[in-house]
Amino acid sequence: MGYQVKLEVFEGPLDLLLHLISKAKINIEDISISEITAQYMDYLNQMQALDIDIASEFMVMAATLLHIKSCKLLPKPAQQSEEQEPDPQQQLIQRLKEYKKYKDAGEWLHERYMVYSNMYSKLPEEVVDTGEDIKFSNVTKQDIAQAMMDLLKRKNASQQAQPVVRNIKPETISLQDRIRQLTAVLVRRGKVLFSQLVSNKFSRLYIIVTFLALLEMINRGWIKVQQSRPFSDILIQRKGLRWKNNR
Amino acid sequence: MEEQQMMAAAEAILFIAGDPVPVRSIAEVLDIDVDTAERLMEKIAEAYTSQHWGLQLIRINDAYQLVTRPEYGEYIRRFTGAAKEQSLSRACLETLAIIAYNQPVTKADIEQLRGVKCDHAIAVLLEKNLIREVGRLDAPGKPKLYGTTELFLKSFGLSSIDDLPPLKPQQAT
Repeated sequence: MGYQVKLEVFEGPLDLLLHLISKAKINIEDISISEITAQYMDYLNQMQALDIDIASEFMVMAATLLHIKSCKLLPKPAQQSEEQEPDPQQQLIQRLKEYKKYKDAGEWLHERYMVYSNMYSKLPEEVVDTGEDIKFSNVTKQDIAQAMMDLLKRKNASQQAQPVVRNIKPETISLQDRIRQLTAVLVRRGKVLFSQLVSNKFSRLYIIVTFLALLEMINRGWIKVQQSRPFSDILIQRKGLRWKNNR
Repeated sequence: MEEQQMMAAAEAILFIAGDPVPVRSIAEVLDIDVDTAERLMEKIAEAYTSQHWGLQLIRINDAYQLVTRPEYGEYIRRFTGAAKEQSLSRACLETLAIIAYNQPVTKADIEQLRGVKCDHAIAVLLEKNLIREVGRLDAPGKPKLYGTTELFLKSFGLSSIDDLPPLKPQQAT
């Protein structure tokens, strides 16, 4: 689509016309077509001088204006029954009035947005089913210390055992398979955190494929993802699930 | 349960839910009828407002949601380091206004009203989840119809689409 350069910000030919009308301090009904046409063409010429591409809509409007102007200059032909077209000037005025309504409504929305985009809410709390909780009742401080010692011992052992020669197997997870797996998970659980889908024990490739799978699923409109702030966990939800259903 | 307790329970649910909670869900959980639940929610909303805390209870369609008061948005951004939500471009706002007042509406209708192409504005609004496709018009080409979302209502502080002010007839500019 390229980028847009704007002389003054006009959202289209109607917007430009409204600007010219308000500059002339007249009502929409009272526009003088020849005056407005001249100003309109001036503006297009300015754009052309600046080597700005003029959107086709502006050209269509220019043609419309010139058409209305020429109609006024020419004597009216004898009324023929099939030429009962509505007055193009009245049509244009009608369009301008319609457009102005929505332009104003847009401004009203803008004001509301400035206030209400300042409101924040929180993500739904994940209430874990305690039935599956691990019981910590018999675990003592010593157990934790012991677990840490074991871990360090294992780490040392593996470091001493070098040089390690091993074959690196090419991993074979296809994007499609991963999408299928993730879909299954989401159908079952409704929502899941990204951290729950990947963990350190998975290879980097696996994590990347998971991420790509999620991107693809977003693209297909199957899931909704939310992240409350940069680097925080990502909540992945199946789309179309109402709050009530995933309670 | 006494009313005070029911209000407290409802508040707790609203806190856990985060998202808007339908009145009927509250009614179900508290085992009361929907009208009573609704009165309860209005009372909670009033309490939040009159006590000037940082939270408020807002209504979106037939659901209520606990959100922060707009006055304190700046502090939340300072705390979270989040950037201020960028305002929508005028093209987007005009497009959104046309959709909001005329939904369901096709792209061609919007473009006719605005006199310019609206693909980009529609794409942005769809991405921001302010509008969605609500179906297709039974006309040649089966054009898509667009309507606003719940997020639209929330983002603009509207309880329902009927909350939009009537369009002003144009006289002077």
